Amino acid sequence: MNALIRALCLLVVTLLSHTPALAERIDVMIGYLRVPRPVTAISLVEAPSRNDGLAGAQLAIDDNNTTGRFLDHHYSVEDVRLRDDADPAAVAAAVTALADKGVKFVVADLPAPILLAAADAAQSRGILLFNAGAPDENLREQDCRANVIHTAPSRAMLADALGQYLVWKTWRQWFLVIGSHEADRLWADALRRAAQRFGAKIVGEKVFEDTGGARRTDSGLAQIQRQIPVFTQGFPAHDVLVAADESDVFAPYLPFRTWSARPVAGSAGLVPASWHGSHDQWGAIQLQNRFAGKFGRRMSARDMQAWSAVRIIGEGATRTRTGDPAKIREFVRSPTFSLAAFKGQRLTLRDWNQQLRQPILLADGRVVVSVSPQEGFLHAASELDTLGYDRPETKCSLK
Amino acid sequence: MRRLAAGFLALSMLLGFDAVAEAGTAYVSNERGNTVTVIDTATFTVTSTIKVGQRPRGIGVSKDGKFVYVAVGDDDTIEIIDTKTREVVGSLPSGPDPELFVISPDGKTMYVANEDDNTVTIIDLTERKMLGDVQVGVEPEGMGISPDGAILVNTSETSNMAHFIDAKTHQIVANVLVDSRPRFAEFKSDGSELWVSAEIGGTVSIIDPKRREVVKRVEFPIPGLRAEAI
Repeated sequence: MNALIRALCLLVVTLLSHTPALAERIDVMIGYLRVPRPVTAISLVEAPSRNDGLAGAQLAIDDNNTTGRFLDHHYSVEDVRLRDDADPAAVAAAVTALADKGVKFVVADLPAPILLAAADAAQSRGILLFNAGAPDENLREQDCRANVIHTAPSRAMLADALGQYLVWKTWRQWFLVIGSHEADRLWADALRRAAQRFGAKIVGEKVFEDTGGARRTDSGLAQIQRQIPVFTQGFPAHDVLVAADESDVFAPYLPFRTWSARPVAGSAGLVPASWHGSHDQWGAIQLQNRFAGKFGRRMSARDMQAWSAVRIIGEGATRTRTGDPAKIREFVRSPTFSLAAFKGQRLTLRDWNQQLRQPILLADGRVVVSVSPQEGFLHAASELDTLGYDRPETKCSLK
Repeated sequence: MRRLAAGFLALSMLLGFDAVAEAGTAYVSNERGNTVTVIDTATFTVTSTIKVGQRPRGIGVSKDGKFVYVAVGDDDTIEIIDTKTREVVGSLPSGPDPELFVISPDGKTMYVANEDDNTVTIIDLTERKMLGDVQVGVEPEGMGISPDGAILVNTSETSNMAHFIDAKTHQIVANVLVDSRPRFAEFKSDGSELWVSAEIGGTVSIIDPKRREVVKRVEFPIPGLRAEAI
């Protein structure tokens, strides 16, 4: 009797393993978690759109569905907004609600503490989470999580991309102006580290206090024109003024107003980012056209990071013919995975912390000036790993 | 990497034009110059420059050698150049942003990949009329046709697929996954194999057209160079 049952079980298992995977319908539901972000900016033309990021995810959903038509794979995205002061319980409730609907993937555009709360809630429900917004180093280092993949570049990657270019230009003497918010201080840390790694010298630093002054007052322009030269007067000799102003309080006011005639880089002037609306090389014009046609605006870095996240999910589902997050994670961590993202080379994951390796664009606001890594910055494994914390330096241990 | 990418572009241009229109004449489309350059291949000199529409890309010659066709992507059409007068004498109705095309072995039908629209357009070359279109994957680019004209193959650069299309019914009959950014598809002259190049994957997939499966993947390792740089 037992032998018969065992034989029957074996038969069932054999039958199951021979079921063709081709014809199986797969539904991939993706949650998009975000908090409200300021829609004001110093520059009106750079004010983020209300669908900044989400639009990139939606375009990738379209791209995935076009491919999915041939495989019976169906993708959808649900936009969920959290308060920017959401506590871990509120975050967990939002993640649980998504999980209850069958969501297995979440693209997150969240500040670091909220992202960690979401990742921990996602872990218990088997959800794979993509960080498409936060540049914080701790998320990739001491606070890294096995169920989090980072498509946003870290601050260190951005700083290194800029640093390599400035050093290639032989602009090695940097003066650093730092905003007074925590994000500005972290950005300044990354820029100091880049200077040290690539042989530049920070000849001086000065903090620009955010006194809550009006960004848009009627007398603004005249005042700024007089204040910035005074603020930058007396700096020691430098080749370039590097601004760490992630909070967008003052950096755009620096170019053309400084005491000495020096270029500005960092948070204004020459700015490093994962994407720029003017980038059209390596077939990028096709993606830019698709995006502008659908949304009537240019594609931002945040849009690109969300697009990449949803495309990674799509690529994983297409290649593995499954919607299972564990199997897709295993595939995207493997050497066979690569993402074509219009940056001239395949993008892969750093297996030690699941950060997407990627070239970084340096743009002046209108055009792309250069793409890092710069020629001559060598690496034993991947030149893309000259950007950011490398394997031997990492504090991440994935569990 | 950048130099290699430029090399790829040059290669696709070379493959895109056909030097048999008249003995010893080559037509080259200039994507950024909005012109077609005519070169005498005996003396390697430019003999004339033809002004065409915006962003000329894919280029090919009619089977009888009377016309050169050039896809002008930003004008959403294909222009017809008379090889005698070297003037644009008409246009063909493609979809938006035509890029590469193939002509059926009997010379009567053209198949066009429209990169912005995820479609392949089928055009009657005698009537200069659209016969229909086929929905394919994201960013269709490479176009190949079997020597007997029965099966058309389109590659989609973001779907990473080679779509097999029945030339009679205009239906997709198979989708074969290949490596990242497939750009070019070419049948062997005896129809026994289909070769598809993948720009970002850095590979060529050899597909058995009967089984519609990848049977071999050719890689191009260069000693001392990392895979991603190739």
